Amino acid sequence: MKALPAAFLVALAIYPLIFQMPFPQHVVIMALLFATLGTAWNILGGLAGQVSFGHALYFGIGAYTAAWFYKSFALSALVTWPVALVLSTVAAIVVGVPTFRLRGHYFVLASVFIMQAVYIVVSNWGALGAAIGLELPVHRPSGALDALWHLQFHMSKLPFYYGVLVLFIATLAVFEWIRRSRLGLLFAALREEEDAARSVGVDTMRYKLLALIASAAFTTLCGMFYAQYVLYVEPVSTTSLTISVEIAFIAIFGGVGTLWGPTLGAFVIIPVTELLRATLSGQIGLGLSGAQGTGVMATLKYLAAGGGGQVDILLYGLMIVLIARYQPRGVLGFFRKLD
Amino acid sequence: MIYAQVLVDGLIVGLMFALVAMGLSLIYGVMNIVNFAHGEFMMLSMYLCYFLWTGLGLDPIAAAPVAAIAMFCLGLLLYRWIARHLLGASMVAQMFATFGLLIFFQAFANFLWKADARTIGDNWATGIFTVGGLYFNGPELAAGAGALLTALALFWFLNRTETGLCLQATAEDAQVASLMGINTDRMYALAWGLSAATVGVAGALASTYLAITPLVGANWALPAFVAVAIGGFGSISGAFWGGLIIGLVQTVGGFLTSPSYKLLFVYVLFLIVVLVRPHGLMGKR
Amino acid sequence: MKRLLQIAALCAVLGSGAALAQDNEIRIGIMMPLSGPAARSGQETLEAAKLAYDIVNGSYDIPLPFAKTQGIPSKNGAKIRLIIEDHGGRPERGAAIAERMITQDKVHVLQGAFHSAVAAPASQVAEKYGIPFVTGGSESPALTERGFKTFFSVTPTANDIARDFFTFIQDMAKEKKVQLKTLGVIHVNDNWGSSLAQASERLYKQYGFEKLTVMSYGAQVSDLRAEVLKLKSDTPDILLQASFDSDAILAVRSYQALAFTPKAILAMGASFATPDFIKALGKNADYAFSHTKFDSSLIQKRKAAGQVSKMFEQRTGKAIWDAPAREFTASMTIADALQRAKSLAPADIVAALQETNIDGGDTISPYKGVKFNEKGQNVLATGLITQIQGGQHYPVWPKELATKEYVFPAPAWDKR
Repeated sequence: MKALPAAFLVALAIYPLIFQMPFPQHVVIMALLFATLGTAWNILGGLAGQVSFGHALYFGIGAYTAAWFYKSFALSALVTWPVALVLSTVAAIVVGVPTFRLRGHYFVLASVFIMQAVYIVVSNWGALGAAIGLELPVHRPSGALDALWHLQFHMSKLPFYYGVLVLFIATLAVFEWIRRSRLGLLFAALREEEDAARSVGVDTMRYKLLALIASAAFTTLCGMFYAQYVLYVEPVSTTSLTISVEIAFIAIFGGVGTLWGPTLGAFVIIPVTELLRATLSGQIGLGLSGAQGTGVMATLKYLAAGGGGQVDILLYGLMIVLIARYQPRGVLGFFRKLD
Repeated sequence: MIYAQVLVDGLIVGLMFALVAMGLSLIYGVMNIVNFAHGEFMMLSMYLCYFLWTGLGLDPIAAAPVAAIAMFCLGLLLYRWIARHLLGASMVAQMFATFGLLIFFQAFANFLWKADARTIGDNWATGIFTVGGLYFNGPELAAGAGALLTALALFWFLNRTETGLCLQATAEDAQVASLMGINTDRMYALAWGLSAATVGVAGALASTYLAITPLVGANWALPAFVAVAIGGFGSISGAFWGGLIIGLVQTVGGFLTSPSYKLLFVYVLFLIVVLVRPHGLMGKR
Repeated sequence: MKRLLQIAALCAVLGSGAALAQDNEIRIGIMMPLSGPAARSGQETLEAAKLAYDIVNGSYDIPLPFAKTQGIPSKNGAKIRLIIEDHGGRPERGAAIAERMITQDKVHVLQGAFHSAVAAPASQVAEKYGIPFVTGGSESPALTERGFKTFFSVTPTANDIARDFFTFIQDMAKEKKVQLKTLGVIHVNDNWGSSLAQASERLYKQYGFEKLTVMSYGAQVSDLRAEVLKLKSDTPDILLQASFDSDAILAVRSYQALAFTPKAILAMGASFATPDFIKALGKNADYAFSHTKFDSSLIQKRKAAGQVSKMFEQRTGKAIWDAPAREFTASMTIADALQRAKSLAPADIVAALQETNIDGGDTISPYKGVKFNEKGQNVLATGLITQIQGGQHYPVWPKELATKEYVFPAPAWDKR
């Protein structure tokens, strides 16, 4: 069983050399991206026990910083990453200091409300394109160095693939390093018995902030990656509660607080939802009745016609409810018995 | 004059938020669970009223009791199947489960009824009343009045009936309550049922003037979560006042600056309140 | 275990994408929002494209090019096969779908995407691969500003729509001798709605307005009273609006409830012209103007419109409207280019598209025609302004397509 992670990483490393079509590479790139996001989230959520639904803020900071600088000055993330990290750290402190004084549900809800507030601000902010967002100009690279400078590689996905793979491994490494270190012990104390920790003089605020800053930093780097990869940044797909929830969910679904939980979550959810969407919504829309009525017959006809692509979300929701009911430790809980 | 209008509007929407917030606070008070799917009861109730309207011609306000009963049953069911198993589970697991319910219900509504909005046309409440230069929209006035009545009914039930007092005792300390012979399992179920029922009434009232979409519950009800947080989790009266405050802040703030930012005021208010009083204005410790 | 899941999922995904590339067929990849808030519109728009290609592939007695012949005549009657994907409104999906359709399904042309935010990255991918991307309904002006060689927009942009509005308003004001000072814009805060606000900001002074007040609201809103109160306090003379169907009804109800009476309300898109709108609002729907690119009255001026609308109704249960009609025209434009293309090589199809010159009378749209400028924008694209009178909508502008006189300014709500 110990060999499994190593084998997994090796498989990831050689995957794009075997599957050379862009779409299969894209699916794994997105899975790796979300695995990284989930693992980064897990530093705060799993190790330090602070469940946050506000991580899209840091993702958005990364995405918009990359997009804005590239669009305005043709400076890609290769150059602007320090700016993004500084912004991310500042945001983490600004958000963390007031909200870490809250406990339990108040903290979680505070993260939701802050996320919504950020979304309102971003989607009304002209310089960031408001609701329309920012499109990063396409650049045809004139050579390898030029491509690297602009982080645009014409049609090849390999640089993106290996880039996100490196980010993924780095995040895993940092997560595990923290977990095994003294810092990890302090985080565990925060998580399990915060009052006790405080009563022996642990500066809980400082450690919570550290966890958030680390978590936010990797999330921001993922945001920059996203912007350079997709070349279009807008509020709903980068800085919304939906994204925050997706990130948190992948971690919780896979197994909070474990090293591989979020990765498992990402590699199950992302390919499966892509698959469900492609097959179930591909050939639909036949003989829709335009009336607003329902009724059993209409529903059955609708189901027969493929369900209009909502089936995947329905199954997703059902899956979550069932897992929450029967295996609250997440999918990894199913596998723990094998260990 | 227009400021008076803004205040009145704020109060009316505040009463609706108050009603929804009270239900949410009830479950938390009794079981320590935040039901993230709370808004979905409202959404389902609105669809129910819509179909009663188109199918049977039943006016939404008359349908409110029907919606209340239907939602009560749904609340009970959800308690039996899912919430009961969440007692004592970690906060993450609880959140996960109720969030899963949220996603499921929204997807379910989306699947069956598609994403385009429905509206209920002219009904009993339709009409405009002008009183001294202030415009009162019939449906919203009815909603505000209905919300106030239901809130008062809930207060009365909790404070003046034996079952209600048992419920409060369970919220206070479940162990002691059970030692005193209260069937806590029944109380939890009742809390879920009542919570869903009150939100169901809110949904029926709102369906006279709000557009009904699968996301209406989640979107409209989010300020209600803020209301509960401001009022303090576990305090029903806190939720009530929290709702009113939120309604006023939202409408006035939006009017003074721009309505695009109206929710921003609500969230900022939340941050201010919890910084000063981390357990809300009247919350349980 | 994880690996098995991965491999299994990917085999299935690969399998679903590997199309049996037949010899005598032309593959067109179309992407639409088939899930999410725009799902219904996306599905109906898709149906219109399917209808267009069915007409091309089959033999029908309709006065449209390619209707009577089967397939594309110059390509040995090759039939068009539509490959459909749902992007759910997400830009990254649009890009991924485009790439899959190009590299795995080997499509000859890409079509879509309804949402401009999805069309943008998707067409970037198309431009990289040199595959033509034709949009019938994504109205963002930014799309053609990019100057892509392979991107073609058949629809008028938000700039064109705003310009139509302003010209019409100016004409009305002059004719009825009404003074107009303040312009109000209310829009849903997304890509589409914001483009109207941006265009208005650019043009309002040119057309004689002194003040502009803009109000936006989040999509999926359930209550607009605060917005309307604020708008009312600025007393705009004219109101431009970009809303979805449900917001439109909510908005007008609020206007009436709060006695907000601009002299005219002009709506972008079809939301103020749907049967639901008229049914829900009764006499309060009257006097609203809509800028649309299809109206049932076109049946008189565009020969095929009536038959196409009937066929569309058979498939979807409702008459054809703005967005699907535009997609239909875009599909016919593609068919026309395929006919003229020297071969099915991407470069030849792109060249054929660049030389497109279709007469408006051969389409079902009010456009003067289809002819692309060097940035890929159809310069002959125009819209139609209709007004609701007595529960029915009539085209009132431009004059050559008008069937009734417009009513301006609109009477107060309680005087109807």
